[in-house]
Amino acid sequence: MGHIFKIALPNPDGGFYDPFTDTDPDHFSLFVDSDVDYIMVKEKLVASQSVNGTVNVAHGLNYVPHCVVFAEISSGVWRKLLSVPIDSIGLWYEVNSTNLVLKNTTGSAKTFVYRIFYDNVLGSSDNDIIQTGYDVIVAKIGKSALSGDPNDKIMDTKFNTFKIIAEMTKAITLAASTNDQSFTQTHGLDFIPLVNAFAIESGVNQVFTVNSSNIDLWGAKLGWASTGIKFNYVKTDVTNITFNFDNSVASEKSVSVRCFALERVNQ
Amino acid sequence: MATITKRIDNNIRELYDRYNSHWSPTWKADENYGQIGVLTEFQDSGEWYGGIKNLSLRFTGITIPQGATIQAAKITFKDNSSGISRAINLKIVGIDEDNTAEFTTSPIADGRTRAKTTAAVDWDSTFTPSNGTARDTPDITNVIQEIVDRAGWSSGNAIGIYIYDDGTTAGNVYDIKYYGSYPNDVALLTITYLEGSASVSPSASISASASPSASTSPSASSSSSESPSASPSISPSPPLLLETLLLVAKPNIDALRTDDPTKFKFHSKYGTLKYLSKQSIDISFDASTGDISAKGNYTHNLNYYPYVEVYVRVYTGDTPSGNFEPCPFFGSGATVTYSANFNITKTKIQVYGEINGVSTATWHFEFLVFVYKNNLKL
Repeated sequence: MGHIFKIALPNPDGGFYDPFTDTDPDHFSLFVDSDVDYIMVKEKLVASQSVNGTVNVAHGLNYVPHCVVFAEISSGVWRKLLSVPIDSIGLWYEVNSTNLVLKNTTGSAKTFVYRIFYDNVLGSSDNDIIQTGYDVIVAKIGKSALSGDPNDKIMDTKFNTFKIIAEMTKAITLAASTNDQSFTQTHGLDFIPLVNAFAIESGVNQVFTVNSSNIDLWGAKLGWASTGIKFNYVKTDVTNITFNFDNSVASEKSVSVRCFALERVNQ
Repeated sequence: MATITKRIDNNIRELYDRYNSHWSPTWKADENYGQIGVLTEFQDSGEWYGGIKNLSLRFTGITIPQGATIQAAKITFKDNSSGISRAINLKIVGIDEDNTAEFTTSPIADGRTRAKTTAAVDWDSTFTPSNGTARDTPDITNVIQEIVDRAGWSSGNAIGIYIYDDGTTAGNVYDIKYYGSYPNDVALLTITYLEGSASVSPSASISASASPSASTSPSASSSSSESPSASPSISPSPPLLLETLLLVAKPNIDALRTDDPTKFKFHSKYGTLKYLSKQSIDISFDASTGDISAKGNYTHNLNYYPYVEVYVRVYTGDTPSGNFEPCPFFGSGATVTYSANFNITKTKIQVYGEINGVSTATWHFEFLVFVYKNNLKL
């Protein structure tokens, strides 16, 4: 490892991680070395929009960006949106190289909060943002910190980056042959957090995510088959994060859910 | 940054220290009393009532490391009655001991009889009580800081607090929920602190010969318009270990006046999501051959489960079309439903595309896989 710039995180066992010996990027809020670009998320915009039907939000990036969208499904309760949801709630989003497309087929308007990120990750872009004021900038390998393209940067404090404000693991036991099982985890934050979650089923060495079944068999002629577990959705409110699962198997199932609280959902 | 809360969990740890000039001795200590302030002394059927009502609190199991920097502290009470406006003038101090021992009533051993911190906070408040309303003391950071700075303090010890009359006009008392009848609404201590030394901070390490693109660009300076609280300095050699915070606040936010991480664009006390790569995975199958599904993968070889986000676009024919949607994904056409899914192993991201229904087309599933370096720790 050659040139480095590392800012260590607190060590839960006391003190801070050692920047001279620790090479785990998860132990640093900023981790730069000359071999790999550990690019930090750079937020282009965050906004809220009432949606009933379809709303196109032009992002102006000319490539497909990463987006995060939440909808207020009831007062003070926010659900992470993905594609057309498996529980048919009627709220989802799509994205192309021009627009973020917000979808609500429920017939009643809902508030969507969406974030669009600059990161094309694979390459540069035509973005040319003039640097004004003073910022801390760390460029990717081979790129200039003076570039106007956010995609040339690992970090640019002109842009908000997602902070892992809290992360937690919840062990749950799914009742046999029962759908729509909800489990809550208090988040202990004084705001409603934007969250993402991943799950792993005991005895199955793979992680699956929200809005999906846990696939364990596949064939070109037969398609895929799941273990019988579905991770339906994740939602948050001022107190709790809620995970919802189906279990179609006639036995209990143990699942661990890893959840990240990254921002205030409606900021 | 961490926050702990601790509620009074025993009668004896919420001890009311009462004074009446006509009593002998003049001080009594009672549990289950629920009043602080001053009542006019009066006699009824030969007994004297009223007087000064102070409160000693003992919060046990305070898991704050010795020397940690306290950022905020308060005690929250709940009103135990509704009534007219009243004004209290109280003082809040700490019991200046490494690990405050249990209070006793006979002999009285409580906040009044023990050594007190130099740090003290005035609690002067005029309010109209409403039963069940939560009411915070002023910030008592300096009181808590003096206790945890004691050489003999260690995590898990007990903190004692004494709240006493400081000039309240007789007739003004604050009725509060007490442990004996309201164990879930009794006094709650909340402390927010930074771990480590009082001088703070994460360590920043800078290479002896920093790359121009990493650190010496003229752009790499702390912002004055966005209120950073510190900026790392650069030394050519040897590697420099700094203890400082790097904070970059969002517009119109004072970095030195808030500890809310969502008010910052970057806050060096919090982890960040770090992209590793963005991969395109295109899979397809010819439904006219009887295939209904295809599978692909990207090998990451990280040997742990990484944080991943996936998008997919589904189309038939040779020309890509349509929008990307977050994956897992479900869609439908006139005669066919289609879906895409993925899972994460310790070495690969596996993607799947599938149709159900009648089709003779060639189906394409174009995946965009954002792989992060962050370990899911599952």
